[in-house]
Amino acid sequence: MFKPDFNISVSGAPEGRRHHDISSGFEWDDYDSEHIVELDYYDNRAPLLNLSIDILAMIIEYLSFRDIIALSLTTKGFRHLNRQLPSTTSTPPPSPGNEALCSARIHQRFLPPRPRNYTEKCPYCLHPLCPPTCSSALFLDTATGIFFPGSLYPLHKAHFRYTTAPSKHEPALTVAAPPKRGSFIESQRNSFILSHGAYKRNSANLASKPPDYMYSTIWCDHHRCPRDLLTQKKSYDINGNNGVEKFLQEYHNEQRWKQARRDRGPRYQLWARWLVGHKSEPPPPLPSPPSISGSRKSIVPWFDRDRDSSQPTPPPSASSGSHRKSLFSWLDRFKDFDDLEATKQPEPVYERCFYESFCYHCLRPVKVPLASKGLHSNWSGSTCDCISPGLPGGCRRCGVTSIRFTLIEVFDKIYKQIPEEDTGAVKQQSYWLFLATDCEIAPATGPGASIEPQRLVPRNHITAWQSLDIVRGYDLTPLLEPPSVGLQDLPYPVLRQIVEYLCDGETRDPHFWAMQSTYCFPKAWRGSFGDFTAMNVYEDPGS
Amino acid sequence: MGLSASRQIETTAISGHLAFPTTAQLHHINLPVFRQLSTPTAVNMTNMKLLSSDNVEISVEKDVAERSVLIKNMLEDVGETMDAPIPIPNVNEAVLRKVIEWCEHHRNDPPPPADDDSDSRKKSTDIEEWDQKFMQVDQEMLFEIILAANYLDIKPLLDVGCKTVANMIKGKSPEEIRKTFNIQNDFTPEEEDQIRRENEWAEE
Repeated sequence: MFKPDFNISVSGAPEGRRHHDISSGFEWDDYDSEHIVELDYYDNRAPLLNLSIDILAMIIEYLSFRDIIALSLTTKGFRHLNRQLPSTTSTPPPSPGNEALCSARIHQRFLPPRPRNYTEKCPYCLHPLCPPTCSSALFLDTATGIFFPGSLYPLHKAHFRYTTAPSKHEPALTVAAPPKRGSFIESQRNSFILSHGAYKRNSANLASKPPDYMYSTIWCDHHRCPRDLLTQKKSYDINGNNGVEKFLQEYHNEQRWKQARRDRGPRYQLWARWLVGHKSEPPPPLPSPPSISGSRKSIVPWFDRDRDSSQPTPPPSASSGSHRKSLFSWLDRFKDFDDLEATKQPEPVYERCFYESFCYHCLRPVKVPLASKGLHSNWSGSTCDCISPGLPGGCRRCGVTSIRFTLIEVFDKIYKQIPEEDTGAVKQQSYWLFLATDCEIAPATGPGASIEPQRLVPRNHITAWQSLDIVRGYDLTPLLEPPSVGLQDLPYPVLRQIVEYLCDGETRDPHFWAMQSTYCFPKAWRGSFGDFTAMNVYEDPGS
Repeated sequence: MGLSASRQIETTAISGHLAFPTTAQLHHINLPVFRQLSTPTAVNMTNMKLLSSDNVEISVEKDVAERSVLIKNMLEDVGETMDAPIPIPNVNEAVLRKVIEWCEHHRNDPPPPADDDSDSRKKSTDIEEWDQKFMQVDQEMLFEIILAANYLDIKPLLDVGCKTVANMIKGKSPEEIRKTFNIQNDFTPEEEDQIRRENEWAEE
């Protein structure tokens, strides 16, 4: 009934079982009775520990290599579940197929280095940062402008870009040039070398230059830059080196940040964004202290209306003429501040996202062989080199996961009067960053399940929602439950017919808005891998 | 008619504190009951009774009860003449009712394939919808069902239970698994450092 692939030794039997063994005549010299009583208390609350080893082995048969290592690190009683692997440099050359290497990397990610005397501060708002081991930490990757949770970020080799502590790896006391990851050509070259078995024993010669992972800040439950950070001062010196200027430099100058926001992979409908909920009613104003970077008084008068009702209402947005640079800002014109305040309607929140397959071994996107040209995901600067027989990419042992990248407006908009306009027109500048969320494929339930039997859903819904709240900087009221049968239940050919009818009108507006309402329409219209013309719209009005 | 001496209930396949009882153990635990069983009486051929560990008799149809290999073997051993309740000493009433509920729903399922430990066995954690809802119970009940399925030798139910637990583990970090199952982290900082040192050779 039970033949596990790995050796289960009896030496590391769960503590609870030791108690049973004692009662059956065995003696354990190194555990006193008080310790046993204490462990027994916990065993009663953790029935998993009381399962017989053969049942445990059956459970483990359904787990991946990575999951088994995770389980083995929960308690000493499960440590024996981890296959004993050589842990010295005498192992075979590290290659993606090497089991010892996979095991070591998984261990490194589950047990990141313990920081000592971590006294770093956020470079943008100067708030003290939590250490990287904070359970809710999200790391803003300097190279891409994406917030990654710790589970998707190689903490054991990542460095804080603005560290004030001397580091043997990177003396990043000043604003340094961003690290360059291996180029696509380099990764192709290495793939070629690997595929021909021409790797050398010295891995330094084999692999491309190891990518230096560097993060610019950490947001977590305990720290998140104020949403009005960018509106606290009238103007900023773009060449300055303090606080907000650092963020603006990175946001506007780092090529990868722009690429990540624009080059979104083959499954991405470039111009689609979805209503995800409404901003929750703000809590009653608290006598909160001003942010560290100074007075919270906004340079935009109507931003202070919450605190001072005598402040003027915002002027109407201006038309920017025929050249439409930003779809987001263009859509934002439909938000009328007066209307919102008069009717107390909650502000709708639209977000866009795209998905990538990620290799857990190297934490890079997996190349999609049939990706549409021009939309291939090269935003990260490198792609997965792991070679596993029978798989298009990714490490077979560590696994491949799906990552959802959600583009979120992280700071309040900056409104500036356009000097050449006499009508009081203002330009609004938004700031968007991505959040990476680990997802899995799950059977669909609810509306549309018959059409789309599987869905990508976060692996941990609670953590995913908390992370979204952190990056958003406000609470979101989710949408109401959809009806049990709805638009999503229509077959795609029928939906396509509806979209075609919408195109027949005099204007393209109905078609356009339909495309914004649900993913079903664009998918029915173009299919999953449609090659889109980007409509010449970008989300950065200032870029 | 007593239990056949040649019909020993396997104990080698499953070890641990809830292994199948041997014939001798059954005699030891429930000797009076099995003495009763040895006397043929008029019985209902389609219904039988199970006696839970808290001494509650539960009536169940025979073909439902025979989803349990343990009970099926016992019935084969003692013949078709059972009117006394069969004791299930390791399963209380609440759990036994849940197990019977599962057996009733799956009474017409084809018999599971012979135990196959080869690599060809598909290790998918897909669980059919009814079973998913059935397993939406608190953890204590979930593990009781698993233990009962193991004891009663109901392999498909045991598989569903194991898959459910596996799904609760999949994709989680050690800390998340601890929270899920209320496990205390008993690694000392020194032990964690030791694990770090053992794995730090894997520079990328």
